[in-house]
Amino acid sequence: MALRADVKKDVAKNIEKYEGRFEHIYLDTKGKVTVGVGHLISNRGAMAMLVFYKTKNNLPTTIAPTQEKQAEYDAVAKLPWGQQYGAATFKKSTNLVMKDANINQLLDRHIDSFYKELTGIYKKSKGYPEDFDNLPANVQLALFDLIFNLGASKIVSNFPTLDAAIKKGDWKKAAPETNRPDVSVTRNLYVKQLLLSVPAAAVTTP
Amino acid sequence: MKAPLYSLLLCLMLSACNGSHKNIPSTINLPEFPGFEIKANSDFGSVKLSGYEYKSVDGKTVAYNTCAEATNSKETEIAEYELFRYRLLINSCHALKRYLAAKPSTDSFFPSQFDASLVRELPATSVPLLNKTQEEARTGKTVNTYFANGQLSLEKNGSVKLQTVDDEIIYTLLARGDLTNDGIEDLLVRTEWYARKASGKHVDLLVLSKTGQDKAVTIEWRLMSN
Repeated sequence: MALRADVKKDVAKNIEKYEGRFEHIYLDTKGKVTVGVGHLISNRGAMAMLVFYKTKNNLPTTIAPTQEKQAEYDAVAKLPWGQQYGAATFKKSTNLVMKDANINQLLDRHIDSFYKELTGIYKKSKGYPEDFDNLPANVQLALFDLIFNLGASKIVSNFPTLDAAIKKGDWKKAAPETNRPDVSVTRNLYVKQLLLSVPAAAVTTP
Repeated sequence: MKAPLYSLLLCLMLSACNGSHKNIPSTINLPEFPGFEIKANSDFGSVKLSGYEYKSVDGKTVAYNTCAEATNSKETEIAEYELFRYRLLINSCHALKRYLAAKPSTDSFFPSQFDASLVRELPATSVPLLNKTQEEARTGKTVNTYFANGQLSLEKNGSVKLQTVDDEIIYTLLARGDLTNDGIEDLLVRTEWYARKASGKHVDLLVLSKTGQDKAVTIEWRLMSN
């Protein structure tokens, strides 16, 4: 099965809200080179796999060769970073940009990898009320938010009360257990509301 | 002329022996406060900030020129993707406030170097906590015992990194001084948590105390509650 289109659309919108969207490379708060919607570029070699464009009058023109992409990576990687430097401050130090289509492609890959993890965790055979694909859309959205933030192992091992409530399909009990101090009040409320909107043990089939 | 010198030497020798007559000034790790205009005898209200701009939820640029402005602001006004960077500033401002209120210490049981061997002895709860489950699992344990398979390393800026399969935790010493009014030196430490296989990140600020050579390090205060 594939991830529902409406869920994927909302997940993409949310991730963009949490990570921002930048067509140029920048250094995150740990000094890691990043692009698009929070896509980490682990080393200069990884630039070869990404499509960047040269620009004229701030508009993308021709595809940049690997050498130029790696030179940009090297130049940005040397810049100061940290609490004073938001992603947008790196724009003036860059010459290359990604097009929306390429950014979306990376985001899709990101969502797909989390989707695979979610379908691996939430299975009826493992004691959950349904396989991930058959859980209500709002529950899927809430679980995406959690896994994107915490990672696969933490949502189960560090949130046992939440996990037990999910196994029972008790969304009302699960809702307050999703609270995380590392995310905003608005985001916590959004995830709680998603779960509270689903009737207890309501399981849908697509 | 020699008598005062001998007295001073004797005093230094005595204080080295029993540790009760030291006068250890409070110190701050200035490179960890970029854009903070901290001068001798600064008070919290007079410290100016430069280069701290954020996007608000409605796309406007918000700039903070003092810590008072920053700490009085509402984080709900900040765009989600700027939240962690905003919290780093708030953390630094609280650290500055604690440091400026610190007094010289008369004694210290912390080593002069902030390194992996010290971090190993810190309470496991020193890591930014995500919920009560984490707190309960870590209470009573040290970094060394709880994260037995974690790798500790010293970073270029003097921070200590603890890396586990899922997490990266950074410990940064921000200041030293008597922060608890007992005459004994405390440490002001920023801790950052980063999920290695996800996007989660969190920051906390801790006052760490050690009141005797054989006493365990304790968390006397922390900025974030879970």
